[in-house]
Amino acid sequence: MQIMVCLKKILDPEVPPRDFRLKKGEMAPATEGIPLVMSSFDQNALEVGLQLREKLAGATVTAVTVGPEDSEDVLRKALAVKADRAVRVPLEQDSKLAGGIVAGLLAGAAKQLGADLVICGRQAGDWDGSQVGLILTEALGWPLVNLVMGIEPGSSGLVLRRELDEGYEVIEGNSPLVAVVTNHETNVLRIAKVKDTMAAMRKKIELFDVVDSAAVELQGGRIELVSLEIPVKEANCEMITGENGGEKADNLVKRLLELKVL
Amino acid sequence: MDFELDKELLFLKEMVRDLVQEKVVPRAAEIDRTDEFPWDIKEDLAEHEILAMPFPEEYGGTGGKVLPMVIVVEEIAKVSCSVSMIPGAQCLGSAAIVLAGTKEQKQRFLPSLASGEKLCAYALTEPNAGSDVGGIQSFAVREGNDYVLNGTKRFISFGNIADILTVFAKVIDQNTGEKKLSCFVVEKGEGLVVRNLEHKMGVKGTPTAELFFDNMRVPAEDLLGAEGDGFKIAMQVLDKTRAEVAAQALGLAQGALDVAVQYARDRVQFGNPIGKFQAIQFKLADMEMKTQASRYLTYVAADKYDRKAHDRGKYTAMAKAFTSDTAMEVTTEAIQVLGGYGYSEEYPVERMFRDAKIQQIYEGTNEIQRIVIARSLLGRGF
Ligand SMILES: Cc1cc2nc3c(=O)[nH]c(=O)nc-3n(C[C@H](O)[C@H](O)[C@H](O)COP(=O)(O)OP(=O)(O)OC[C@H]3O[C@@H](n4cnc5c(N)ncnc54)[C@H](O)[C@@H]3O)c2cc1C
Repeated sequence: MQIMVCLKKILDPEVPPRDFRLKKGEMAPATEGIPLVMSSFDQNALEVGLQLREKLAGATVTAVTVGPEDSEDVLRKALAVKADRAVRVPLEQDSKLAGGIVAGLLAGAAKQLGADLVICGRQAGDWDGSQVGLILTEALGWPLVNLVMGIEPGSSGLVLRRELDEGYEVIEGNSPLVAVVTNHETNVLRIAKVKDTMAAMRKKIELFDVVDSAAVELQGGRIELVSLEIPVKEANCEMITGENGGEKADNLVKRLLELKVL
Repeated sequence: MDFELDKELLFLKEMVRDLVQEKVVPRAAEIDRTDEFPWDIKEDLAEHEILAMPFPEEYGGTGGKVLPMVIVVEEIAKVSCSVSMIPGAQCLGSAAIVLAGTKEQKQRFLPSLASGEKLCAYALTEPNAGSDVGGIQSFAVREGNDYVLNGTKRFISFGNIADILTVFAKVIDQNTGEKKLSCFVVEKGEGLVVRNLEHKMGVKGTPTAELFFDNMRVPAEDLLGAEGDGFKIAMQVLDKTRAEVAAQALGLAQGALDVAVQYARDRVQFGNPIGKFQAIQFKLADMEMKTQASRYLTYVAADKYDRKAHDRGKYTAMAKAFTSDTAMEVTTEAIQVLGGYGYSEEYPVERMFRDAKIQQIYEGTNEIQRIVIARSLLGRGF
């Protein structure tokens, strides 16, 4: 089974709020001094792929990213945890509004690879778009299972566990299919070992020139960014008075109703 | 000329950072408080091949180069100096075998150390012989196919939990009475009594032991090199591992500086973050200058070691002394930046300060390093 895992490189979402700035005069975050990392749900997706491979003889995991050359870091990280292959689909433009384009390119890459199963994260940790997995599924015309925690081989096909509010749901499916993964304690990305880490730097990254771009046209440029700002937080303190506890509580409720908090 | 680490090493650093974040950050303060060796973290370090780093690939290691070790030790020591001493001790305890062992000796001892299944320790220091290695009193006498070993070793890191020890003792020639300092690989067993030395100031959770050898029989094939090679081997080991002590100190300095910078941005007094005050700014600037200078000196020393440069011993001595002095200064100033909070266990800088002190003492005190450096300038006669 050819398992393809989609990975995106993003600004580290763990960066302290005070270090997060916007570029002057541009609707984009400033990137200087902020580490770039693999999007966290994509890490879960990769782990789900690796775990499935371990249980399926002959399966391979191919990590795929869409982006400029420096996005290859996420592929190196995937190689360090022993993804079998790494593929980059070049895209120079800023992909933040291009979920559709990225999805189309990934769908093209899936076809080129002959993937049986495409796994991606629930949403990217930068823009939280939640678009790529869904549009990619549409472009491929495959079934989709979302909010997946883990995938195991079943007696006939695959067994996917989905997270629900109260517990989980088990779905059986046959490839080809797309699994959109959410985070769970069982799919925290493993940490690499020293030798694999050093070796990952020397491994080949394949470049895919995706030509089948029917899907690309599907979604390009449908979203327009109108404004982007960092919310200003204001904190005001107001003392609620009253003769006793009961009255204070009443006054608090009144005030909260006035403020439309309740 | 390029002073940046190559991509492979930067990537390794990132991998270790991930490991440290997940496994060491949650435990660092607790290891200091309980003073217990973190067996679980030792397993993690083994699993991720950090403990394999001191060893050549043919013995199950990852290559044995010093610069990657330095990068890894620095990264761990930013968070926990005690944990960084686990790979440190694995390198120190085995270096004599790596440097002076025969193929057979390496084949026998190194694979189980590289896998982390066994731990090792370096037993040089004695109650009456610290800086003065020539004053070692432990002795060995040849009897048939064995040497019979007697003596006391003190302050041996991991001496109580190590399975394999590299021990320095003088072989006494029974005919001539001549004493030749020699190095033995000793597997724990009959004739060895171990006592844990408790209540150290810092590097808690890294047991330090006293070893008593009482007529312990060591097979003759476990002598490293020839009789009389002991001094040379001891110095060759330290030439190498001093780069790793420098890396521990570097991690401590960087870790303390990071905490101080964060604090200076957050802590408000007189209506301003204290980082707005020049007195604090200048402290941070000095800390950064010294830390960066230490970093480059340490990396250069490690790189010289790996390239077998003729002046590598001098460079590792300079890196060790300079960086550990830096760590002491930077951790002291970090406490000052944090004021009363720096003095409290609520923040890690007081622990880093206690951990920094030992860096100036072990693997040759900084006075001894200065003697090494000065002799490289003046010649052996001084
Ligand atoms: C936590 C810890 C872990 C250790 N781990 C190990 C280990 O794993 N293996 C091991 O073998 N040892 C280990 N040691 C021992 C350590 O290496 C020695 O303590 C150190 O070498 C100094 O020896 P000493 O304590 O006997 O001090 P001394 O040699 O007595 O020195 C006392 C003071 O005199 C100074 N001095 C001595 N001679 C001179 C001179 N010629 N010129 C100028 N100044 C001089 C010293 O610099 C020092 O300031 C450890 C020690 C500690 C505390």
